[in-house]
Amino acid sequence: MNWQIIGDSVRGASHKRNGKPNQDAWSFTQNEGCTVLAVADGHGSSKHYRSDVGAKLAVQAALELLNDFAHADTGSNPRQIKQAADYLPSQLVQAWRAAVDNVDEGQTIIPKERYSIYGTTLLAVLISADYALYLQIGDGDLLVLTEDGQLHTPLPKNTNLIANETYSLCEEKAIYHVEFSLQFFDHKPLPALIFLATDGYANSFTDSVDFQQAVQDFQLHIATHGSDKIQDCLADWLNETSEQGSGDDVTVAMVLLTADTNVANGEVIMLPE
Amino acid sequence: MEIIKRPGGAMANRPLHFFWLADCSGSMYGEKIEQLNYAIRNAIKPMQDVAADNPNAQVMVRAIKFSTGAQWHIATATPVEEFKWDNLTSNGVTDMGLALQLVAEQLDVSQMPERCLPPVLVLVSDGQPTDDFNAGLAALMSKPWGKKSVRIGIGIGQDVDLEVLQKFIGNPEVKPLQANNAEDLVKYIRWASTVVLQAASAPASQVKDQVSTGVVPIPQAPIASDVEADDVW
Repeated sequence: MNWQIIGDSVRGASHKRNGKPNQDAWSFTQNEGCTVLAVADGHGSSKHYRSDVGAKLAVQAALELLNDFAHADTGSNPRQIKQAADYLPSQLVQAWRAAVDNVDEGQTIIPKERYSIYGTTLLAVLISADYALYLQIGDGDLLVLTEDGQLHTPLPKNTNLIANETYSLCEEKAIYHVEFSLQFFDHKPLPALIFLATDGYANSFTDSVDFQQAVQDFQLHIATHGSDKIQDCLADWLNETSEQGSGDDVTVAMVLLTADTNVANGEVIMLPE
Repeated sequence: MEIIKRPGGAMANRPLHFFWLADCSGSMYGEKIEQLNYAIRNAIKPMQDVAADNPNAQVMVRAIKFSTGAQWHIATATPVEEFKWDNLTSNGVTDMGLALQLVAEQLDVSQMPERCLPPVLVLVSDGQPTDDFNAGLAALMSKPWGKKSVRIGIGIGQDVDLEVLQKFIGNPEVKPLQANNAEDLVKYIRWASTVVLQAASAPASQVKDQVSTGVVPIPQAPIASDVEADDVW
């Protein structure tokens, strides 16, 4: 199986009006053993004034952690993989906190305050030869379009998160809010497109039906026009989405099951072995 | 050059529902109700200007009047650019609890989807509830959007029950405003219509378990004016 990445991130229309930076981040890594894609949304209020940095650190931490997970000596035994995955929430939170400690360089003494400054959400997917692992803390959307055209949400929806509330990596009890699920590829149908987006995207559509239509349209457009063309169009579409919709930063990134081996024009992070 | 249609269905800015809850009891008779009508009408244009500055929010206004019972004064969610104010009149007792129950009915996620911005509720009163205020507040807080709403309390005159307004606000960092004269009432109504509206219309994310003081940080309220004792209600 070959997997291809398309994605982009734009500064929100309201952030442009108010002089705020894009506080979303995204990136991916691909190598022989796996593909990992991650998206994060820094909280953005004055209390979380370095959340744009926090989002980048979350993405980097997820790429490294999930890449290591894919290459760990768990074999392809589902039971062992599931057992190892149980440690991911605490490993992720620890890795992100360590990264924050590192960049903060002792400027904020109280840990709770330090992590809050960098507060962010995170969405990530790891695809290995045998399984896909989905992971999320906080708001944002992670959807899977399978080969038979069905749209799934592999992670439970937090129904108690409305308005602008979110769970966050900066919380004291963050590990309890990290959701993950494993899908082994011995169960068909396979994912054809795995779609990750920060909440600025879904919030720009009239309702969930119009939002979910976007995922199906992406797949159709890619099949019709090719992934390079869609990658070229993406930033303009996301800018239009933010302007006509939520005004928030908007990040969309997706992994596609593909027959060819070309990788989209994007940042490929080469992680150390 | 080939144009590819943007993926997805219809897009829209995010609705922000703004509710006035106005005391129309007999004690509001005369200057108080006249000044409340004037203050709200006077705030319409600034409110529209603030809303126009943020095209990513669609501000919709409704109003409830309460005296003996509670009724909709503006029942239909009205786009702020079409918002007009018909004068309220005063008579009867202060069924504030019923007003809260009436607004609570509109704060279901079924009627106000998740993508909405936090609603703003501005309660204006000159007295104390004559009905079961706590039952009304409980009904309001039982709704997800009730809990997440931005609640502002404005008291008129010396007889207002500020404790009740504080309970309604539910945030120890935000105090009820007490308008003891016409000038302050105009100032506070305008502040709620503009500064609070602006804060609610572009809120940054708030971490769920760290939210103890509301989902939208409330900006500093204007300071009461220094007026002659004769001008005090």
